[in-house]
Amino acid sequence: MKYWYAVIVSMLMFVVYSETMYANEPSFTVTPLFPDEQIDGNESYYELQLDPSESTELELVLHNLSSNEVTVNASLFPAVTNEHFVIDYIETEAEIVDLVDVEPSVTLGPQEVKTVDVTVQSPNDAFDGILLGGLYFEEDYDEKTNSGISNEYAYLIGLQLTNDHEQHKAIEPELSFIDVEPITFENRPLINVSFQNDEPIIIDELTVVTEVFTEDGEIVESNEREDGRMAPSSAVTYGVALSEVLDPGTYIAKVTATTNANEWVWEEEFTIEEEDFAEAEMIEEESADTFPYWMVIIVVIAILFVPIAFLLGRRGRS
Amino acid sequence: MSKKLWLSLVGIGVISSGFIVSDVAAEGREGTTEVQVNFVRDGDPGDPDGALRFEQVIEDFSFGEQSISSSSQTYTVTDGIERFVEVTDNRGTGAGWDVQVRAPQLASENAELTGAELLLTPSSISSDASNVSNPPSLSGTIRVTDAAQSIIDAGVNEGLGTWETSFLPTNLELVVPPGTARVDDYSTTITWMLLSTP
Repeated sequence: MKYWYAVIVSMLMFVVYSETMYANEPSFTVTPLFPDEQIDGNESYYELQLDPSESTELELVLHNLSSNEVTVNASLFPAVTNEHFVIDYIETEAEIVDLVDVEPSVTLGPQEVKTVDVTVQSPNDAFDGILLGGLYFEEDYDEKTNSGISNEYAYLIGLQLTNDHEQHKAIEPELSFIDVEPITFENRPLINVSFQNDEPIIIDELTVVTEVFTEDGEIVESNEREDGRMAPSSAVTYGVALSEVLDPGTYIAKVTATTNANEWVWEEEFTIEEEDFAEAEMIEEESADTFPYWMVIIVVIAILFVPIAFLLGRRGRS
Repeated sequence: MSKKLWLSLVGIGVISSGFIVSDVAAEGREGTTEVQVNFVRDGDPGDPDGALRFEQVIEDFSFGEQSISSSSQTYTVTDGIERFVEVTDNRGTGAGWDVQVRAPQLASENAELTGAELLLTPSSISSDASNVSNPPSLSGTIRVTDAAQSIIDAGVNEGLGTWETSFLPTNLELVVPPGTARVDDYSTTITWMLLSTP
């Protein structure tokens, strides 16, 4: 008797569970097919070697796994380096965008298989190193009426283009400093630092230590990022969060960027002005002092003022 | 068919299998017995069985209705359900893959929830007990931003087969600083990206 009860309960739980499990099951898959220009040994993303002005056609196979019609949007996004030292593929202007032509949208019937065609054209002039982008595929959702946190999915397949694979591998990395400036971001005081990857190659396993000193050499903040990467020929801008608003004055930012084989050290003087952190300072004071004392003063004055006004008013009439 | 024909067919079979046996035996003596298995991608190109794909991404979640506070507050997912991200890599290349997340700041129709932090912490990752490939590595707590961050990373020879990453309800958090929330509905969309890139 108890046994049957357990079976029935577990069957009920299974139904509830599986409904939860598959509530957000992706509808499609994408599989890249590789052309003759693919560099040998790579079967995971496009790594193409083309001569100047040579072009090639790529095909990717889309498969609709669902029993509904699905529209897939396809784009080519160039590789940039984001604030987390992650190679990020975003919609922005870059040379590779003009070299790659992607069929922007494909509609698949239930269970249907179709290919997306992509044309890649090498620049007319020979170039060093690589150009890097990613082919991005996402489901075209109807506008959801959102509340809370929605979750969507996308696939990204790298597209790396070179004229000469051997030449690319021989390029030595070079980084150079761009700027340091104090800013307020989302009400918090930050020191924003930027530097760039001068060469058309990926930088891997980058450690970045950023220290902020006063003019007298006293350290006021430090920050370390490990296992960072940089996209070819890209710049990075990242924030070093300050634990408190720094007084106006002259400071020094020391940035040490290290890879397995190289190290770059930059020391840059910068100035903090009163207005740089004005907003952050206001928020800091507000949250440190949440009880509105000024309101109490106004209320006390008002309470005192009412009988005085009343008395004055009576005296004026009589 | 006559019995004679049957017998002769069986005889030919015995003789030919005898040849095969002696052949193997000969190789065996030389110590070069070779067992070769070639694995190919399952099915035709575009067959989902041979792809790198999401089996599931975590379902939508909510932090419920909250009263506005004058101090920083941390909220966790209200329904108490464990959520999963499941990736299958049946490409058989061992090249690895990466799951990254991004989301714009929470916003209502009127304003952003400035300073709010949407925090994701992958709890654990598992596969079928018989899967011999190395597990992908999970990130620590990620504050999801508009700029992508890696949350599940399979390096070379990691993450082959199907891998399920779990997120306990206490590992999906929203931190709201004072002074930012208004009486309004705030929402955002997390994009889970499965990358195969250099």
